[in-house]
Amino acid sequence: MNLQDLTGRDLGVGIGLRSVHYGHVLDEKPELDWFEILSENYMNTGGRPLHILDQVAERYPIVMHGVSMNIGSADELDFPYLRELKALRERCGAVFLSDHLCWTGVHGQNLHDLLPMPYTDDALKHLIGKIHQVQDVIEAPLVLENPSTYLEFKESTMTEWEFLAQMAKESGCGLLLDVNNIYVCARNHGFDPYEYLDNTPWDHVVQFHLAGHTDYGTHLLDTHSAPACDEVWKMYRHAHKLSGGRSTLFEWDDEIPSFDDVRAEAHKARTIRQESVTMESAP
Amino acid sequence: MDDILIQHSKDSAAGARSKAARSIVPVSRVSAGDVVVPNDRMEVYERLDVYNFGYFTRLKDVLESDFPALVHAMDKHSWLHLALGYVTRYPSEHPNLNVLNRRLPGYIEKKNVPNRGFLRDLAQLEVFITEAFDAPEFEQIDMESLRQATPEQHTGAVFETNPSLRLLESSYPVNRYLQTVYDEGSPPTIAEETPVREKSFLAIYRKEYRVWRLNLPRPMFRILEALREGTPLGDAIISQGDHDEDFQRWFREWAADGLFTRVHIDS
Repeated sequence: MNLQDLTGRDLGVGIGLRSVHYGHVLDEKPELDWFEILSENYMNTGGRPLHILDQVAERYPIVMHGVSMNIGSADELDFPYLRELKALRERCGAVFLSDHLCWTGVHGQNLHDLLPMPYTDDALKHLIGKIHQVQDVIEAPLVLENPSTYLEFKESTMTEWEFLAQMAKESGCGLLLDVNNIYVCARNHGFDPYEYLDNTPWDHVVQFHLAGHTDYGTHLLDTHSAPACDEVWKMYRHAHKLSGGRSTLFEWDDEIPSFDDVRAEAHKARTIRQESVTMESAP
Repeated sequence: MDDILIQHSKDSAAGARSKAARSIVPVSRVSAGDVVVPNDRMEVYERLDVYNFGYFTRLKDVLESDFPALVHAMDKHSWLHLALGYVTRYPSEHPNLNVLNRRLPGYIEKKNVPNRGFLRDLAQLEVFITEAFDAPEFEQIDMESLRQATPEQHTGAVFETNPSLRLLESSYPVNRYLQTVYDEGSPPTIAEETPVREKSFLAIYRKEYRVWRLNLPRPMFRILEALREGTPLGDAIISQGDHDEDFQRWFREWAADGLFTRVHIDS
């Protein structure tokens, strides 16, 4: 499997598979293009989550999205974790396997948060080496997502989009572009989100994420607890045009409403995708 | 390594001053302001505190999801104090948060808290439930081989138990308390009423992807405990001497509930 196999695979519009919706998904078999799972929810367990996943994977394409790879850390990679990740991918036939451009712990401790990296040449070199190690284990391109961040490092010498572009080009990894995260970071750090989108290496982008955030006045927090704001949908419309169409997921992880409500939010992306097709085919 | 920056139980500024942090980066040489950029709305430590507060909130939420009965039994302040102390003493070392809870019963055991024995056993029951939920996949035993065995072979039969099986002996009726919480009842908190001692024996296991809790009479608990340790069936039964329990009825129930995954019978 190479990067072109991933970027050329537009799955349509999906949502995150969450335990509160298990019953609905299994009983009602709702119409949906695909599901994304949080990888760690199906690891280190042999019980009901895997049993549910097996059934869902029989009917829908699955994408795996992790939060604990800790790829940006100074610690060594956790190879048992990576092997378990690979086994899970083989079990559910996941189309993509993604995690985040971040570190999640150091000295063997896991903070279960997506901690920001300095955007420097040293960090880039460190990260590219780690990406190659991961790709050797999973035997597929790794897909990395831009995180929401709440601080910046003084020593950074490049913007996040420049860092992402170099990382993708030099490592051959795929990118998961979270449009809401770009918006959150733009507001928190004061940059133009459209400059970010216009300088994204689209030949590496495999997937989009969309979500809601919470405004705390001093900063925006990526809470996944609400619909996406209008500005994020506007940015998605722009990103969709630039990309030519990529698998798109709506994430809702806190105060999760009914399945139909989450799907309705995701289907706003479908409308934007269809608008684009209509405009292209108009005389 | 604990008490540094975003893991410090007060805030990130206290974390930066902590002994643990200074052992890595001496504050005299580097301050957070040398590393992190402030903006027009937030100072350096305020930006770090977004992560610091998020860390404790997240871990507290995970623990509250794993320990609904324990949280109910304690007053809010005591629970938060316990949870904060616990994640500071035992920060997560695993990529998966489903093991964060494992050391809490032992942590309670070492703390000078009122009704410590009750809280420890209640916490242990809730840990066993999550362990049973996440235990490795297994297949139930084919009982045909046992049905075809001679009486002598029965006596020497050694069983392997379902990897989800947990056995809990408590001086308190913790299962009853937990069930009341599950039923959305409101059993008295330890501040309202001191838990009354009453021995209880419990098997916790997974069957068909659900976790079950089975109250056992003491002799049946001991026999199941012995079988789990690999004691031959005959020896396990004899070890309990005379009692009024119908062992065969219990054994059939255990087998039907999938508590055994293999039986070794001498040919």
